[in-house]
Amino acid sequence: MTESSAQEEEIIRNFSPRGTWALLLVLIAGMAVGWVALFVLYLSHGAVH
Amino acid sequence: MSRVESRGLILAHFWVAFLAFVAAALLGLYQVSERSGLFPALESNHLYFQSVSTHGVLMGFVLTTFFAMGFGYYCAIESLKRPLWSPGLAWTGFWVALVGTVLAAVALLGGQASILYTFYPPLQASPLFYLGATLLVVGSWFWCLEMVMTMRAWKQEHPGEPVPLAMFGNAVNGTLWFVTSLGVALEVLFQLLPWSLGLKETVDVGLARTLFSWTLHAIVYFWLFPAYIALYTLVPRAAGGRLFSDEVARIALIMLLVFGVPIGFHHLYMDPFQAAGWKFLHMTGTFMVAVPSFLTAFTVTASLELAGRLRGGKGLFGWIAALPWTNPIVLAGILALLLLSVGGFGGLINASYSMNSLVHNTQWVTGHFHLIFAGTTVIMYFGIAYHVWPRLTGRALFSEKLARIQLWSWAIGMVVLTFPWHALGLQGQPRRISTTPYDTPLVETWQINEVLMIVGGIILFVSAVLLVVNLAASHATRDSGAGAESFAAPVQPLLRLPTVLNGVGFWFWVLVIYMVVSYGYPIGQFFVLDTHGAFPWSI
Repeated sequence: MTESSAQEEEIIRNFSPRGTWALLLVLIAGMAVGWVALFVLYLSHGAVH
Repeated sequence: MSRVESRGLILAHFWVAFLAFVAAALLGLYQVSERSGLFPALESNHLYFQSVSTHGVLMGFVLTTFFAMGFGYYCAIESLKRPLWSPGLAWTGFWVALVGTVLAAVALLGGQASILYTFYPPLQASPLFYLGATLLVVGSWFWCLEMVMTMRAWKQEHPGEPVPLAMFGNAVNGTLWFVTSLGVALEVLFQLLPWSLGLKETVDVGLARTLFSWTLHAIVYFWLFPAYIALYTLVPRAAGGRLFSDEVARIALIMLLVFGVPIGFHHLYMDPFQAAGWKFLHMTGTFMVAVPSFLTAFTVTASLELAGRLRGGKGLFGWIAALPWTNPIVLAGILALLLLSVGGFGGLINASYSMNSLVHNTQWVTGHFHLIFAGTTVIMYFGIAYHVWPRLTGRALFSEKLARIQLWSWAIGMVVLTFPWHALGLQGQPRRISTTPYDTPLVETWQINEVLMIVGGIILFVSAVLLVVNLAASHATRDSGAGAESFAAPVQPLLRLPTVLNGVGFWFWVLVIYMVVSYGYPIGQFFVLDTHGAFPWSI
């Protein structure tokens, strides 16, 4: 096993997807803000039907 | 059929798909221009609905069916390293589907099938269109059989070994599509075709809409499966990493099969002929589909994070910048996941029985399905095409830079097109109309969004042309292409699998039972209750 592949194996063995959790939380938070924005937009136009 | 000979079969499918796509993109540009009301010379109700119907059929049925078939054959041959179960059957399916496409196109372009992609009665098309649509579906059934039987033949040659994920995913999709397409096949064969031929005077619209709902939503997963399979098996490898979990990928694909089909009533929330309880059941199933979507988002993102860390990415988000954004299929995967997040978020509103009424039949719906279909699914089709083309043609891609420009422009164009649609929907603009010549003060507030739609349509059409030019030019490059395909290996080597994660037979029967529960009475009632034209001889 070469030095670089041994290093890769160590990264894979110790891998924990903490960055994935963080990214998904950021996206979900963004969507929560989006919900509020859409709700305001929906209320803003008044009766159209 | 050798692997070299099979390349012709796969390329034939992909070229039919992409030629249909570029024609449909041109029609899309016409539609946003006509509908805006900014170009009076373009306005024609007749032409608009002819165009929308052709656009929908080409995108929703032709592009997707041929692409899924071609990608399935590619995955089977490359992952199993063996020929297809019956290459002759695969070619037969291709020609049947192509003849069907041509017949449907003749009817559509002749103005005899302006009934939109959903072809809901009482809108009626010429028999030629229904015959063509039927042949297209029947041709795809050859593919379904080919996927399942090729996997079965491999399993007999490799007893006890896990089926490669790419093949497993396509076998699940073949099963899903066969069950999914039965709804529309029953509707066309027993209702629409006899009605359009004049063999009977009328048609039970409630039954027709119920049968179409059987197909209408699950078809989305048939489209989406190639994208998911590529996200699991091609993107992690191309990014320089591994698949975070092979087992989770299989569970997600199986969940899509089981929960993806019996949920069509969320398209019928406002229809009177199905009771609220059945709609609630289908709504619950619809929300269950969020589970495999989240599993996929997590597993693919984790796979990308591992790739980024192997490439030297540090910190909580440093791995994102370390990813090979210049690789077309990786770029397509990232853009697809982003657009899937936004589109899926909006879809929760459509899926909700109560909130659906806020956006029902508005442009919100058009925005949602374009974001999911064209934003997520089709962008992955592009990424897959750029990835497999050098392996199929034996020549290098004409221009990776052009591919990147095309992918970015498609994603940006889709945002510019669909975000205004969402806004217009919330402001009450109906869909399925060609003009908006009423309530002038209200329509004036829509104008900025109408202009943005046209800008989005132009960007998307240019992007579509770039795709086809790049792929066509790639047949004539001098540099040699990539070698055999190499799919992503899982982080944990897969030695053995439970039988239920290594085949589709068990899940097929689970789906059949779930379908009987979800659709048995809702369909059966048309034959029991005293409604107009409800007897079998006049369905």
